[in-house]
Amino acid sequence: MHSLTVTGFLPDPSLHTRSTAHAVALAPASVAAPEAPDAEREDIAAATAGDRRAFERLYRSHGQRVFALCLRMTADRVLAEELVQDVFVRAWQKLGSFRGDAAFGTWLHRVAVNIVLSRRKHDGTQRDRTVQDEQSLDAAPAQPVSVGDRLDLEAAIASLPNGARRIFVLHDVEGYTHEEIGDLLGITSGGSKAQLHRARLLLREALSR
Amino acid sequence: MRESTMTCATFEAELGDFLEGTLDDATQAACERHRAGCAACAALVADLDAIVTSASSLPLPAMSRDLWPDIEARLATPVLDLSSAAARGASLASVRPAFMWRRLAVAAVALVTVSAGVTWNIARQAGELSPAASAVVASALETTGATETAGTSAASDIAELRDPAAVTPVAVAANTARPIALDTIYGREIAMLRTVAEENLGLLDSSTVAVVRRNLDIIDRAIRESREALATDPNSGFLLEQLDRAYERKVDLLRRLATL
Repeated sequence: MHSLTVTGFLPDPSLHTRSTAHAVALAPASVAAPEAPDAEREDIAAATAGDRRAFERLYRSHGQRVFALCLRMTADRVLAEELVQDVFVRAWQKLGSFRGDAAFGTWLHRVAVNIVLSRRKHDGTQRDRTVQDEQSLDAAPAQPVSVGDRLDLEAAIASLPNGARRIFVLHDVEGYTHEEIGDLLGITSGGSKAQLHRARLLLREALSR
Repeated sequence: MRESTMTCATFEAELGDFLEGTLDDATQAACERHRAGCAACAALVADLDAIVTSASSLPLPAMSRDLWPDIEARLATPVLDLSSAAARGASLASVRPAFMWRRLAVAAVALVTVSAGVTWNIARQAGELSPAASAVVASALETTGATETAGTSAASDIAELRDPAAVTPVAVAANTARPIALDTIYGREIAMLRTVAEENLGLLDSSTVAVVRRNLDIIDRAIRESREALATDPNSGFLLEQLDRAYERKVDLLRRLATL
């Protein structure tokens, strides 16, 4: 067995726009978050009071990261951009409930995950597919694997079945624990572990082609 | 014993927990030994490790366009004060859906009951209620008292869901407002929310839908009776405030349904 070469999906430092601070600020609840910068705190306060320019700055800071989450969770670029809008509209409406106990990014991230999962619930087809995912580890991929000897990791993630993809993204990309994923998806942590392992094996298979 | 008999199949069966580090010490050590002596399994682990490492540091994909103009356009849609509803929504966000809906159903009833009851007691002590206002309060108490509350402790839910400090701009202006202004302000948002809310009702089981509909009916009745009372007592600040609160409850309930 050859060792998997990950050419094409190891991150290019020049494209790696996620700063360390950003990554931590948007981490799930299980990751400790530092205090928000003063400027962000001021923007949050101003936006809560109705200042749209301040809220726009928050969008500029966090929008791309929210989009990445939505895109990877749904594997649908158009839907992901719709969801980003939904996330920020919801965040605007709920800003009054942000108490600053967690980083703003963490709070926003949770809003985004809930919106993505809510959209899934509204989609009967996807819901049925998820049930199948939970029941059978042999379910076919949600999308055909792209042509090519080697897929990059993003494309391989997009090719995963919906249930496995969501868990892989939440755990391995976003850093959620199995317990947190279980709470979000209404499954056991054991089910989350099984789906994650399956997702990794499917990714390996896709990347080895 | 396991280490001496571990096959590739056994290793693969344990692999998920092996990578998570959740195996017992003996099995973890057996897996380590197998990996050290099996090139294929070692390659498998290396590949999965590479995937995990890469996944945690993926570059951010770019959006096809700036979404802010679309977001801002949606923010421009007239929306009333959301702070109290948002705070309550956040407190419900971590609650399991079934529990949340039980509380939601209770809240619609409880808010009407408590609001009317508290106002009744305060106003009675102060001797402030006009006959028309008294009729509205008594009616609200009577109606909600006879309504199903989904079999839960209303008192605790009320304490959690009711925010005494929440005063909407409309409520502040109650002394000078008129029913028609409230109808216009709330009617616009209710119309926007109703379609989505009705659609989302389809996601709930029939018994929950029935409770929600009954409670919407209660709120509608409070709105109707407040308006009727205002027709005979048009200068009553109390009645205007009652009408405003009833509208607020309706918007709050529809908003929660719409954002399900």
